[in-house]
Amino acid sequence: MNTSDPEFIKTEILKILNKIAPEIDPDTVDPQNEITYEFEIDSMDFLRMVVKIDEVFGIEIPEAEYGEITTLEKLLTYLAKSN
Amino acid sequence: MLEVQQDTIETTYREAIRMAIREAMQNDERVFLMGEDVGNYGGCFAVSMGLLEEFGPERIRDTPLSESAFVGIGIGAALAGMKPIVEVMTVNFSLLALDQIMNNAATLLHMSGGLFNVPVVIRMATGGGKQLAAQHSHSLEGWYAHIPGLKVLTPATLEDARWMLAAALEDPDPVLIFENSTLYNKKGSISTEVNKVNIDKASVVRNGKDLSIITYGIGLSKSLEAAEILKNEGIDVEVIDLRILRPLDTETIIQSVKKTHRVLIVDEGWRSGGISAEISARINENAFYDLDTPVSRLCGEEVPMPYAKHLEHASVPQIETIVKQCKNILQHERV
Amino acid sequence: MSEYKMPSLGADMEDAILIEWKVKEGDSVQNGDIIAEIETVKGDIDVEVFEDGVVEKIIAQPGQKLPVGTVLAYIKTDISSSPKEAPDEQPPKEIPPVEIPPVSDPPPTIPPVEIPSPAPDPIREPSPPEITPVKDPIRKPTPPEVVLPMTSINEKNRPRASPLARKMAQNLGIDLQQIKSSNESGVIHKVDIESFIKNKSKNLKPVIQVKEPQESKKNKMRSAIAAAMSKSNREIPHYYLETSIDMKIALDWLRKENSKRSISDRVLPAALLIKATALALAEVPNLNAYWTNEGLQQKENINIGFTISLRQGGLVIPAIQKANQKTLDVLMEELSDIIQRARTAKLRSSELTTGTVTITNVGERGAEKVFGIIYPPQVALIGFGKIIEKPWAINGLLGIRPVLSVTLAADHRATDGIIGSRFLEKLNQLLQNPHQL
Repeated sequence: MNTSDPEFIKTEILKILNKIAPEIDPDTVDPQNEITYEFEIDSMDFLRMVVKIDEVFGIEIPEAEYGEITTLEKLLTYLAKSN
Repeated sequence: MLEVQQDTIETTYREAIRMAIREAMQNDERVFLMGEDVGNYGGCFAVSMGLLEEFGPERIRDTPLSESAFVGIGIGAALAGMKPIVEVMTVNFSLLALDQIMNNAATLLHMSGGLFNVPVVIRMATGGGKQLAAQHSHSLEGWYAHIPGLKVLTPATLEDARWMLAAALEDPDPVLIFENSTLYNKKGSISTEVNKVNIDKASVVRNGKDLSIITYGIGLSKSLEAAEILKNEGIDVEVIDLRILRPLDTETIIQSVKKTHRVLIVDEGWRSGGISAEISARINENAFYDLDTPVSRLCGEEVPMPYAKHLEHASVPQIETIVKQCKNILQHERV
Repeated sequence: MSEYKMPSLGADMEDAILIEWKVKEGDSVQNGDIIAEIETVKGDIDVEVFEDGVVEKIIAQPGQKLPVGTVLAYIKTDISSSPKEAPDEQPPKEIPPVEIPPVSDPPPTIPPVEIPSPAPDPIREPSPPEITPVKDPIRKPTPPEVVLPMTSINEKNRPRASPLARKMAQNLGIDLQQIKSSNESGVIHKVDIESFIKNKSKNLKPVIQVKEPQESKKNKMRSAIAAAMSKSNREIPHYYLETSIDMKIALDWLRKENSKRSISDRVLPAALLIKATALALAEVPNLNAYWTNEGLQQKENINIGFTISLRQGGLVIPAIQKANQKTLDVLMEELSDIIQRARTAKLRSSELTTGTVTITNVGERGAEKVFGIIYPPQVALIGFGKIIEKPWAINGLLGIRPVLSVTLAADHRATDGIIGSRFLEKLNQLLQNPHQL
């Protein structure tokens, strides 16, 4: 499993988000817009996402760096960089 | 079995009231009768015929044609310890004395902090049916029932005509008695026994299970006749005589509604803002979930009372319209 | 013996469909056990029993749509008495299951609403002429009295039934949609209920369980919220207070605290706000209360209703029980659990009925301030806005601070502004001392 493959990261992230917000169709999401807005998630959902990312990728995102993962695009970049 | 023999006498509504007045005057020297034409003429509906000869002009007093003045005098006399019976010819004329009735009789107990009560009894004729047209024939008792501080009695039976006056005179506060003018000639027999009637409860005059007619005054005898007709068609109607419009006996009404689940209110007064509206509202407030059909009303047409006989007849509830309305209500569920 | 009834899970709930029983006759149950699952406009809810006993008799069958208050089962609470004792209340046990129509069926036929023509009664017509000025020779007749039909949008599918028929149907656990009126007006009367029962006992039909389509459920939730909020807005004289709270100390503390924790143990500002609200309410108990016909009733427990919006639309307000007595960690755990279950429609009945005050936190999604509508019979709603950096003056110096706008919507029948003010001031003090939360 190549955890730094962008396609793999994207697939896994969308899986995580789909679990948290199953009502949202990822195809309709604007990757440059805020995740919280696009997936209609609140701070608790966001925390669940961060916890899941840790579980799947082994990446602990510190609170101070939340600013770098606000959109889907930024999040994917961040994860690719961290791997 | 012990059989109680009661003596009864044949009489009329008019005579029953006269008996009541005579008895009150005999029993209590503070009682006197006052009004337009009550003395020499014997009353415009001949209720006080003969009383002047019996009790003299001190106690059977003819007054000038000024309702405001003589009703006011009656209130003053009551305040001073007398027990006046004031007769006003018709409820239409009583409007000239409305200021005295409402602003003085009904309020003085309250405004004097309970020091001065006003034990006046004011009698008046009400209702149409005698071709006296729009200035003599209305049924405005529902208006008076609006006023706190008054009691409003509507004797519909010979018993009540005979006995309500005594109860009214015993009451420490102003009491209005509305006598339907078409009832004066009503004949019947009543017991000679003293009958202390209450003046706070309605009475179930006829028991039934399909529908409750709630009525008073002239509506009672019409409703009872309608109930007889309906009985032959298999409809079992309960008839309630309100007897008193203020205070209204909500409990008896509600009990009946809970039994029959359907209501027709028969009131010769006008519909808009009338006593029938008040009754309907109370049923709604207290027995909404027991209603199987909307509360129905049969009221006087909203016109000044016509003079022409056939129009006057058509203006107020009649036996045939009551029968028809009852059937309409029941047809809500019979197609 | 006690009656186990369809619970009311809020002022906006009218009925629910019984999905399944989690117990059977003869089972022992304890206070707090989940004994059934129901489907409401707010999702599927696990309903609990609130006493110890034995399930004596199950009345309602899965698939039945049942109004609030319908007896679902009898619970024998006095274990020592004879187990063969019959239920005290007779009527429900003879009632066979009511069939819910398949989704594809057309909606129940409601006759078109007509403005009734004036009664055919000959003497009521015509109305008298109006008195008109002399100059105008033509008199207009008074228009006949018109009785306006009583309809509103969410009433469209409501069967027309007399109040008595409605009450009977409710007592018997019958869905009025199943009853056919025997007369032209289409109104269901007592006689129709009676003949329905007669026919049903002759002709038992199988129970069909039908899930309502998502769309109609959504509309129903919208209607339920509309009804509850309209009622609140109509009946409750709201007053609003607002204050801005400097969140620097609280957020700094939280950041430090979270840096020591693993990701899954991080505490969110929401938990801090819930705890601070609960503690402030303990000091100002008049806001932690119900307003009923008897007036203000203070509530002993502080159960914070937390508004959760659902992505499919609408919202639910489950309560976190006794929030003032719980640590931040426990609050986080419960908040996380409750949000996930709310989203998957798996709340417990007690969570929807026990809230004593409501928090709305829409600020998290962007709005700077929120002025909410109280959820009756509660008397207060606290709205948290977005935390925004703002210029902030302290001791004559200007700095940039994260600022939180807090609003209080309160019932003026229950409290006055001074009480509300006291609450906001207390809340501010607590948030300036986050380590004590």
